Amino acid sequence: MSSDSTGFLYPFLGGAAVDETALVDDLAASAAGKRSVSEALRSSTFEATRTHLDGAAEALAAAARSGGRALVAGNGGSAADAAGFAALLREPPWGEPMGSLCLAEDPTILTALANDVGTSLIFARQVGAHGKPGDVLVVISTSGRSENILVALATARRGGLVTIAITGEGGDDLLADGSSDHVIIVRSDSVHRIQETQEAVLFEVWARAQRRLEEVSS
Amino acid sequence: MSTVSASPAVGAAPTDGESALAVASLRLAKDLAGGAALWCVSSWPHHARHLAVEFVHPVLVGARAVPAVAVDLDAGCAALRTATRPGDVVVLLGPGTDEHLADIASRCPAWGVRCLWLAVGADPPEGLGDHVARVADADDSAPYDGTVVRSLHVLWELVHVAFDHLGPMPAPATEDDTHSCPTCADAADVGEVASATPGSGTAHVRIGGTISQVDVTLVGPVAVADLLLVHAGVALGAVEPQASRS
Repeated sequence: MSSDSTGFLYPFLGGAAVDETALVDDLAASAAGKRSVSEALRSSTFEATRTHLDGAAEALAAAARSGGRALVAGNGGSAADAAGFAALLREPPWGEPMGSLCLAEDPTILTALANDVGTSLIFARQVGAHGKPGDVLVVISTSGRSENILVALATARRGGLVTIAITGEGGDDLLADGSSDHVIIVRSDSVHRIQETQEAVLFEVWARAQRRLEEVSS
Repeated sequence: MSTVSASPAVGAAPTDGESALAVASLRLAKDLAGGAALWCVSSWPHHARHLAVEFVHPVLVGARAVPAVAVDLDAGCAALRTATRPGDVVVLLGPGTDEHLADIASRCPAWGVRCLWLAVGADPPEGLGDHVARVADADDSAPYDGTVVRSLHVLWELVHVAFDHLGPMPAPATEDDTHSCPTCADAADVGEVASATPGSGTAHVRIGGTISQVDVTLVGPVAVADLLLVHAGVALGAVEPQASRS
C-alpha cells in the first residue's frame, strides 16, 4: 500500500482529521488518471499486437464458420472476465452468436477437480472432456504463467484445438516455446490495468471476427 | 507489483461520474472500516463476482481483505433480505433501467443497508440508491470492452486510498447518515412487509433491518414483500413496486 502517495497534498493533517473535500477531489483526480492510463495502455497494446489480434480474430471466425466452439478459462478476476467473454460470444450485443463454454463458472466441477486431482488440472480435464478439433481455447492470465493455464494449453494442442492466450509479461515464454498459436501480451506493472486491457483485447478480437463473418456472408 | 496510488491526473479532468464515484468510495471506505460487508449485484453476474473477489482477495499483497459477496440477480432479494446486516452496503452494477436492480435499491432502506449504484448507460430513477455514479455512457459494449471492469477496479482502488487516509480506526457512521424516505420529504421510513395476518389490521414490517408491528389499516390489505411508508408505527402509504421479482 502506498501511504505517501497523497500525503504531500495534506501537510496540515496530523492524521487525526481528514479534509474530506480535498480528499474527494484527489480521489476523483485519481479516477480520471487511472482512466487515462488504462486508455493509453489499450491504444499501445492494440498497436503493438496488431498482427496477433488479426490472427486471433481469424481463428475465432474460422471456428465460428465451422461450427466450432470457444472454451474460455482464467483464474480469479480473469475467471469473471472469461465468463464475460463466453457471454459475449453466445449473446452478443450485435452480430452472430457463437457457441462458447466458460471453464471457470461451475464450482461443482472446479471443486471436484481441485479436491481430487489438484488445481493444476481444473481446466485441462475440462478441455480434454469438451475440446474437439475446430474448437478454440481462449485463456486469460494477467501473469501468463499460471500452471493450470499452461497445462490447459498443452492439453488443447494435443487435442487439435487452436489456442489463443491473452497474457501479461509471462506471455513471452509462450511466444518463445510456441505453446500457443496466438499470444497477445499486455505489458503493464498494474494487474488492474492489465485486466481491463485484456477485456478490451478480447472485445477487439470478437469485433474483428464479426467483421470477417459479415464479409463472408454478404 | 504496483501499489494503490492516488497519483494526481495529468491532463485528465474527472467526469461527473468519477466525482460521484470519489464521494461514494469515501463513504464505502468508512462503512467497510466500520465493519460493514459488501454485497455485489450486477446485471452481468460475472462482474458482481469480479467486484467481490477484488475486495476479498486483493491483488496487492498486504492490502486489507474485506468481506464481500456476489449475489446472483435471481437470488437477489431473498439473499440480501436474509443475509445482510443493518449497516452493510449493497453495490449495484448495471443500467439504471434494470428493474430488478431498481427493486433491490427500493428495498435497501427497509433492510437497513446503504445502496451504491454504479450506473452503466442510463441513470436509475430519481430517489433510488444512496449514491449513484455513472461509470459508462452506454451499455452495449461497456460490459465487454473493459469499461465496466475498470470502474469496479477504480472503486476498489479509491476505497483503499481512502483507507490509507482514514487510518487504522476511522470514525463509525454518523447519525446524520440515517435513511430518509426517497419519495417524500417527511420522516417516514421505508418498510418491507415480513408477515401479515389478513383482517388483523397489523403486519410485521422490516424497517432499517429491524422487524416491528405496524398498523396497516390506512393502506388496506398488504402482502409479504410489499413496501410501505411507515411513520410512528403506522403505515401511511405504499411504495410503488419497481419489479415483480422479490
